[in-house]
Order: sequence, then C-alpha cells, then structure tokens
Amino acid sequence: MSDVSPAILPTYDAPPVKHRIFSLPSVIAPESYYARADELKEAMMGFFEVYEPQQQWVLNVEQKNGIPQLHSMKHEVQVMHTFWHKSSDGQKLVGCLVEPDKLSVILRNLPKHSERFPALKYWVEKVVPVWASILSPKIKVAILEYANILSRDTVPEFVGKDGSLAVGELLTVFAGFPGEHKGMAPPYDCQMGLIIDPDAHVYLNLRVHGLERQVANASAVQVDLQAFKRPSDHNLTAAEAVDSIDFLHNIIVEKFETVFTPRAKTAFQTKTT
Amino acid sequence: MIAFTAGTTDAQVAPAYAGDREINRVVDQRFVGAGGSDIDASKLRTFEFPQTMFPVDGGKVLLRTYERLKLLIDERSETFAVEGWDIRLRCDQVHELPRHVVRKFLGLLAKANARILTPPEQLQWLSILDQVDFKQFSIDRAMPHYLEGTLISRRLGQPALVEWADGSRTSLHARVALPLTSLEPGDDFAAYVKLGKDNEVVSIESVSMLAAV
Repeated sequence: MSDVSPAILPTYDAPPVKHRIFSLPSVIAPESYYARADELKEAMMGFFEVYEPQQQWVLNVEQKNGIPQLHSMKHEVQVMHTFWHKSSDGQKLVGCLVEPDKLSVILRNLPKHSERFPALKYWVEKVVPVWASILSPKIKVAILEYANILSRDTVPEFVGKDGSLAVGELLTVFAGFPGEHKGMAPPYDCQMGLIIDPDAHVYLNLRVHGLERQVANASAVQVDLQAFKRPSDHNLTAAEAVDSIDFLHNIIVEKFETVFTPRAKTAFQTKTT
Repeated sequence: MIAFTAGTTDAQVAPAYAGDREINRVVDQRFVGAGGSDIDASKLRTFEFPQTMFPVDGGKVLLRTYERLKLLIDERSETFAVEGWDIRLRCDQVHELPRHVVRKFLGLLAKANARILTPPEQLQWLSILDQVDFKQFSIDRAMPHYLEGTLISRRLGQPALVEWADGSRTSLHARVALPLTSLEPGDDFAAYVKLGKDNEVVSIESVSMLAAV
C-alpha cells in the first residue's frame, strides 16, 4: 500500500456513505450457536434496545438442460437475529446482525446524525468480545465495508434534467474511459479486487453498480469499498479481528481518495447531510 | 438459489460480502419480475427449517431432530404448519419455532411420563419420537448418579483408571478425570457422575474423599 497516511487525507462534511459495516464471517459449531442463542440474545440486549428477528424464505432453483426450475422441495427459511440501538430521534442507528456463520455490526448514515467511523469502532469493541466469548467462533476474515450512494440526494449537481447521473465525472474508474462518446448510461456494474498487502493478507474489493430503483427520480449508483483481512494459515482471534479495524479503515479512506474525482470530492466537502 | 426477504428495508444493510445472498436478492427480483404466473405455486408451499438442534434448559441440553422440520405454508391464513408436530404459527413468527418445538415436546413428555396422553396425543408422541434423538436427550438430561470408587491410577495427560464400588473398572478420559486431580492412587472417593451412552462417564462433580470422613 502507499505511504499516504489517512491522518493527512482530507475529511468530508458530507461523504456519500450509506452505511458502514464491520463483519466477521466465521465457523461456529451448530451445538454452540443453537445451545447458546438465548444467552447471546440476553447479552446483546444489554447493549441494544431493540431485538428484531429477520427471516428469509429462500427458494432453491435447479437447472435442467439449461433451464432454471423450482426444486419441488429444499426451499428453506433462514432466521437471523438483529439488534438495534436507536438514535435520539428514534431511528435505527447501530445494528448488530447475528447469523449462524457471521457477525455484522452496522452503522447507518442518518440525516441529522454525524456518527462516523469512531462510533462503529466503539460498538465493535463492545460487541465482538461478548459474541466471541459466548459462541467460540473460528473467525476466518475481518471485513470493513463502506457503501456509498451517488444520487440526486448526495450529488445533485451531477444529475441532469433528464435524471441521468454523470458517472464519468464522479468516478475516476469511469472518467478515463478511452474513445469518444457523448456520455455514459446505465447499466453500471464494475468490480475488481486489489491486493493491498499479500504478506498481511489484506485485500480490497471495489464494486460500482447501478441501483435498480431510482432515487429522487434520478439514476443512482452504489460504490462499495470493502477492505478485508483474511489470513490463509490461521483463524483470527477476536482481539486480532477488532484490532484490524483501524488498519482496514485506513485502506478504505485512502482508496476513497483515489476512486472519486476531485470534482466529486469538492461536492462532498460542501454538502450538509 | 434465489431468495426473497420478508419485512423491512433494513435487510438491505446486509453487507455485500454476504456474496451469495446479495446476488440471490438481485436474481429474485428479476425472477419474480419475469413472470410470477409461470411459477408452480405448489412447489412454493414446503420449506425446510435448517435448525435441527433445539435448546432445552437454557441450552444445557439440546433436543436433536434427525431431519430438518418441514413447514407447510398456507397462503390464505399466512401461517405454516410443522409436519408431524401439530404446531401452527404465523409466517412472520417463524423465529419462535424453536421455542414451540421444545414446548410441544416437553408437554407431551410430561403427559407420557404421567401416562395421561389421549389417543391422538399418543399417536403424535410416537410420530415425534421417530423424529428426535430421544435416547441422547434422555442421557444428556439425566441427573448425575452418586457413585463411590477408588482411584487406581492417574497421570497428567493420561486416562485415569477408577474401580467403582461394584468392582467394575473404568478408564476415564484425562479431561473427564480433572476433578480427581487432588486424589492419590488408592484414595477412596464419592462423586456425582454423569453417564452417557453405554454408561460412558461424561462428567464427574462434587468429589469428596471417603477416607477423610
């Protein structure tokens, strides 16, 4: 990785961040997960005010002669446990999603609330040790993800009268597209993986994809920055996983600077959310 | 696999790293949008519940099913029934299913022990017994036995050898024998011993020395 220290990189009044997530995909013995689920819920309710189970009814499709067909059986329902801390005005601000194979701590970017990375880190430091002590997970990877939304809400000066979004003027990966063209149009879907430090097993995924639904009657694009540490030769301890969050954050901040154009970053400086 | 998410937009905050799930969500939108009328609805009525271990006594014991439970959806009433268990819940209450499974099981077990099962309940109890590992449940939940014995040998990291009062000898796994650490070979002791399948010693607790009394 470069020598650029995040300490000297600019900060933004209104970055287009939709949410920040720290997640720990892990292997957890089913005996441990199901036997101690209630104990975990009790412990989490010591941190969060709201318990909200989520369910996914998952259909199984099999392919026969190249044609997708619904499997007659094998559909399953998955239950996840979600806990929320609410903001002073009652909105879900910090979430914790517990699944049989993963823990995720989520910080939502809400209007009129200025919580940033330190808030996410605060909750990660509270929640992860408790989760790990109860479920004894084998943590395979630590992931920090920032999802950014470019839309009329976040960058109105880049939205045309027809609702089109000037993606080429916002993202450096599109700005230098070779050849002559009058503009860019959906669909947008581009992703790549960057090897940040192979010795430290640190990588970054970048994905730019158009949202299927319009935001404020205009096209919108999501930019995901996902830094992760995945040792190949050992599992992460809970302490190692928590400690990695600063390093992963530095990577995201650094790449944020390179992904967005100077014009876009100027817009992020001057907005208020 | 395709998926749809019940409930709120909060599900959308799931990290994209969830990979398959994120992709599934997109596929689902296209799938449904491509023509829901072509879907054979009968194939959408049966779902499996992936959890096969249900906590009892605050998780100290697990009730295990041999197979995943089958949930039969009734779209009109927005409920599902659990095949063979006489449990019906609203679809949005599926997270409560583990508690209802244990409640149903313990209720019938209590009636079976008291020999007051009605004929329909007897049939249902037999059906449930075919689906759960009742032997393991009984062993896991059994109270420990009071036993007296003599420590024959014990070395660090090695199995310990114990002779019980009835003259039988048992080799104990080093981890199981940890509560005997303070004893010397030849010491007589009493303890509460939990037995597993084939009378294997699973745990020892409340050890006291008989010779010291």
